Order: sequence, then C-alpha cells, then structure tokens
Amino acid sequence: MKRIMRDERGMALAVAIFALVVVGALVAGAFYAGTQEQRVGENGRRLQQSFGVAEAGLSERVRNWSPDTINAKGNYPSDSFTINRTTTANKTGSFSGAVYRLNGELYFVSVSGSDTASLSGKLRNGGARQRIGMLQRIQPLQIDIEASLTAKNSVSLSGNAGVDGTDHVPGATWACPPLDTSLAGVRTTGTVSTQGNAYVTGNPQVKTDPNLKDSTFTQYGPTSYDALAARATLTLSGNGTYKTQPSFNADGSCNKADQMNWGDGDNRASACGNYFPIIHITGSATLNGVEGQGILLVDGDLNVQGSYNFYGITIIKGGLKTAGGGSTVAHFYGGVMAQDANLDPNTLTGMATLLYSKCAIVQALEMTGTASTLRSRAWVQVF
Amino acid sequence: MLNRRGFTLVELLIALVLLSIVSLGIYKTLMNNQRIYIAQTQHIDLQQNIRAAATILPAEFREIDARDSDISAMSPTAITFRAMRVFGFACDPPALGAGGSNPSNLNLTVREAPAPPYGSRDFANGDSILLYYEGNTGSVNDDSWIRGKITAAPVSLICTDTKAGEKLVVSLQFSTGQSNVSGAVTSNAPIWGFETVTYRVYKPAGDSLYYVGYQNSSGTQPIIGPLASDQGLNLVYMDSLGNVTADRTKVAQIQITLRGRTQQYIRQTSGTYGAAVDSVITTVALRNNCRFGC
Repeated sequence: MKRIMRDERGMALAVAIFALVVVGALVAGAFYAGTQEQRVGENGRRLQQSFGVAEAGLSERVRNWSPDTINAKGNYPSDSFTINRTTTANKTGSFSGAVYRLNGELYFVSVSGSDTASLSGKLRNGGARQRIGMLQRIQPLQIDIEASLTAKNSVSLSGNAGVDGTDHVPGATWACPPLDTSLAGVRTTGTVSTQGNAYVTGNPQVKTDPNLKDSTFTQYGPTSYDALAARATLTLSGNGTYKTQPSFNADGSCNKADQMNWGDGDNRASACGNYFPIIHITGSATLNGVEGQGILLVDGDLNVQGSYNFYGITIIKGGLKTAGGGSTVAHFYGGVMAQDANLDPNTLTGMATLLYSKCAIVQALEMTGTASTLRSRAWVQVF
Repeated sequence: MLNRRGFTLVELLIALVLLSIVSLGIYKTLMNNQRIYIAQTQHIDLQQNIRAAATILPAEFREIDARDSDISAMSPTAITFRAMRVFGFACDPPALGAGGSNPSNLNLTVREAPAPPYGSRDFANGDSILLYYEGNTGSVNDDSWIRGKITAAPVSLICTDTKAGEKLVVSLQFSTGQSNVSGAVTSNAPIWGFETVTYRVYKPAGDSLYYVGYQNSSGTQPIIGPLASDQGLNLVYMDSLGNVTADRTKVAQIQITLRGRTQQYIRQTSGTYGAAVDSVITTVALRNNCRFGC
C-alpha cells in the first residue's frame, strides 16, 4: 500500500478532475440555457395556439348567437350568459367565457382559450391562456312604424274595432320604460272609414302619407322581408287555422319544439315569457286563440277570430281581417303593418283593437335580434 | 536516501513538454466549450429577440382602427399610431346636451367592479379616450367613437347601481355625424384609453447597433434588438385586398419583417467570426378597422 502511494506523485488526476469540472459546468450551462430556450419556445407556441383557440371560440359564439337565451339576460353586471367549456372543431384546445349584455343593443363577449397541452394539467407552469373580447351590436330591424296600424291601401273599421296610437304597456308582467309620446292611429295612403262603434285615436288619428311605399312593408333597413322570413324560428304553411298558446316541457322549461307555442306575452314571468319567435306563415292563415309574441310575418291574409293577444310586430303582405266573437277581444300590442286592413267584426259585440306599444315593439326587436360585430373597435385583448 | 537524487534535466524537460501538451489540450478544449457556449447563448438571445418582435408588435397592431386615422405616420422602418392601453365600461355616462360639440368638465363613471378596466394599466389624468357613441339605438349606421381627454385625476366613486366605480372628468370632441344630445351615450358604454406611440428603427446614443425603439411621451427606449442593420425592421402596409398601400386610412394588414443579429460576434460555419443573423416575418390583420360602409 505504501509503495502504491509513493508512485502516485503527479498532478494528472487533479488536472483531469479540474478540467472535467470546468467542461461539465460549461456543458451543464449550455444544456440549461438550451432547455430554457426550448421551454420559452414551447410557451410561445402554446400562447399562439391558445390565441387561435380563443378567436375560434369567439367566432363560434357569435355565429351561433341565440337571441332567446342571450338577449333575455339582464344587464351587466347583474347577469351574464355563461359560455361553457367547448372543444374547438379541430381539437386544438377549448374555450369558455361569458356574454355580458351591456344594454339593449350592445353585448360584450369574453372568451378564454387554452391549447390542449395547457389544459392537460401536466405542465409545471400551468400552461397558456389567452382571453379576448368582442363588442357585439344587435342588428336592429329598421321597421318604419309611425302608427299603430300602417296600411298601404284603405282601412275600414266597424263594430267595436279600434286602433289606438297611444303608447300602451302590454301587461302587468312587462317591464317597460315610461310611456312614449303618442303616434298616429292609422298611417295610410288610402282612406279610413269607420262604422258603428269603431274608433281611431292617436296623434293624429289618421296620418295620410303619400310617401308610404311598397318597400315600407318589405325592406327594414338592411334587412328585407325575405331575409327576415329566412331567419324565422317557426315556419307554418298557409291555409291553416292555428290555435297558439305557450306549452312547457315536463321539467317546466319552455317547449320551443312546439310549433303552436308562440311565447307567453300574457305572462312574461313564465318559462316562455322571454321566448319571442319570428313566425313566418307562407300563405293566408286564421288564428283562433290564444296568444303569441315576437314578429309575425304573413305572406297572405291574416284572419283573427275571437279572442287573441299578440305582442310585438305583425307584418302582413295581404290583408288583416279580425272577427271578434262575443265579448272577447283580439288585441295586437305593438305595431301592425298590412297592405290592406279590414277590421270588420262579424258581430256587433265583437272587438278588435290594435294598440301601439313601443315596449312590445322594442322587446320583440331586441329578443329576436341577431348580433353583429360592432362597426369599429370591437376587438379587445382582455388581460 | 541514496535513491533520492532529484530529477535530471532531461526528466524535467520531458515533464515540462508533456505538461505543456496536456495544458494546451485542456486550454483548447475549454476555449472550444466556451466559444460554443457563447455562440449558443447568443443564438438564444437572438431568437428570443425576434420572438419578442413576433409577439409584441402584432399585439400592438391588432387593435388599430386605420379607417379612423389611428395611424398618424408610417414608413417601412417606423409607424406612429394610437396604441390602446385600457378598456372599460361607463356605468354612468356623462350628462350630454350642453357645451356644443366640445363639452368639457363632464363626469362619467367607469366600472371598477366586478372587473376593473382591462389593459396594461388603469385610466389616468391626461389620457386620451374614445367613448362609444350610440346615437340612434335603432340604427347601426351612426355608431362611432367620441374622442376625448381625461382632465383630472380619477377618484373612486360608487356607480348608481351601487357597484364600485371610478369618476373620470373628461372633455369630449363630437365629430361629424355625432350629436351632443342626451342619451347619445348609453349606460355601460365602452370606453378606450389610448396613447400615441412610435415603433421605429433606433440607435441609442453611444451605441453602434440598431434596435426597435419604442417611443411615447416619456421618451424612446430600445425594446427589441439589436437589428441586423438600419433596415432591420421592415413594415409593409397592405389594404384589405392584400395590395401594398401608402394610404394610412386603408391599411388592413401589416407585414412585419425583423432581421436581428447577435450582440457579439460568434464563429460562423465558414470559420470566420461575425454576427449571426436571423429573421422573422409575420402578418397581422387589424381587427378594429371600421366596416359596413363607414
């Protein structure tokens, strides 16, 4: 043992160890820097991917705008519509968020997107997330309603039929702003004749408008009658007699699959109270009770028999005929536009009333309006 | 003791020669490792630089509305524009109707809860703002943004709906198509705060290299670089059809080309020493350009 130690007199080992330590430190440093660079690169890639997911989510949410659920929400910050976590079509990640109703016309969609790897929960730093927002504007229908009844041709009223241009609150269950100023009772290019107890009220009672054109009935700003009909929630064939009333599923929710369910304007507090369908009837039809709300488009004539309540906007390409029965009343709250109008109850005791209601019109427009991106500065990088 | 005679001269010379050879080998190895290390870190710095460019510049450009004259100057190596810094909602809009088209000392309250204004910072005195102009609620054609300025330091104030807010004192400038009438700005109206900034090729005093400089009211500072040359940043402005345009109001896309270089010279594959150069090209679409005929 002593002999061996004596032979180990050089410094080769010490020098070799020193060199190894130095080289090892440099290699370790290079590896560390390389690993860090790789992580930074991966994070950057995840960030970009998450950004793409968020933009895809935003686009998907706007494309599938659901007026009867989103538009019915209360204003921010008291209420919001939750966007549940959804995987993108190409499986690159998933997104979630919320839609905030800022006011009746404006909405803010906020979406957070994360790439698939970040969502796995296996990343040390929690992964990447990108949040972006977009301002959405309800595309309003610019329906030229300047009277309770707008008719292209002549209007005749008899029995107890009435047209009232005074602003009305449709019912106790409606939350409405203060009443607006009165509009004309009837706006027409033709004549208005009344018989019996029929009446027209408004400011003025009759507004003769030579500028009333066919396009007044078929073009609503950038939206046409046909385009509106193409967006219809419910499409019914002509030549039918329909009894429409709210219906509910077993769990108490509104049964929107029922074609005869046109919402519940009589009771806005019910599950169908915020359901405002766009109803398109592809011909003439007869309504024989009970109620409906939204936007009603009729390609032919509309006959209303007996008691009926409709809340919103009614546009009829043909003529409107009402026939009250007994003491029951056919009410149209909102605005009615018809090429011809013949509110002619068959019996003297019959009643048909067209009551202007700005509240019903505005709510029908808001609740059926689809969103489009605000004209400018709609896109927000939300941190 | 007789055996301990020391080293002969020949032994010493041989030992010295061997030691020199070994030392030289170690030195070469160490130098080689150090060179590789420096080259690698330089490359990493370079890549991080161009990656930063590919992240920072598009994020800044995305929120531009060129149609609304957000870009005030542009060239291949510089761009001056309104950079959005904060975004919020006015829980209580200003009372409009008086003051003509340039009302001042108007109070509006911005929501602080449930979420504070979004952005890199909060609203501050002196900020330029854009307040959403609703106008006729039945029409989208008059929807626009009122320009204005915050003229006093924001103070905490509860919104009328009892949520936390922040009072801003502002002056507004109504432009063509906007009317200073009650109701023109609605509750929860969005509000942007912005500052005018410039990104340009920049050579700091006392430095021989070029950088991408960020210039605002506080001055200019290099944020990306060094660049390969004074042409290391190249911005190409394109309209919505992808054609190059010199019209600042028609810019719809900006192509960013950044050529960066390493701070130090490193050994090239050719064996010579010089700065390594790398580049990135990315195109960003301006998300906030006005559409639908405005």
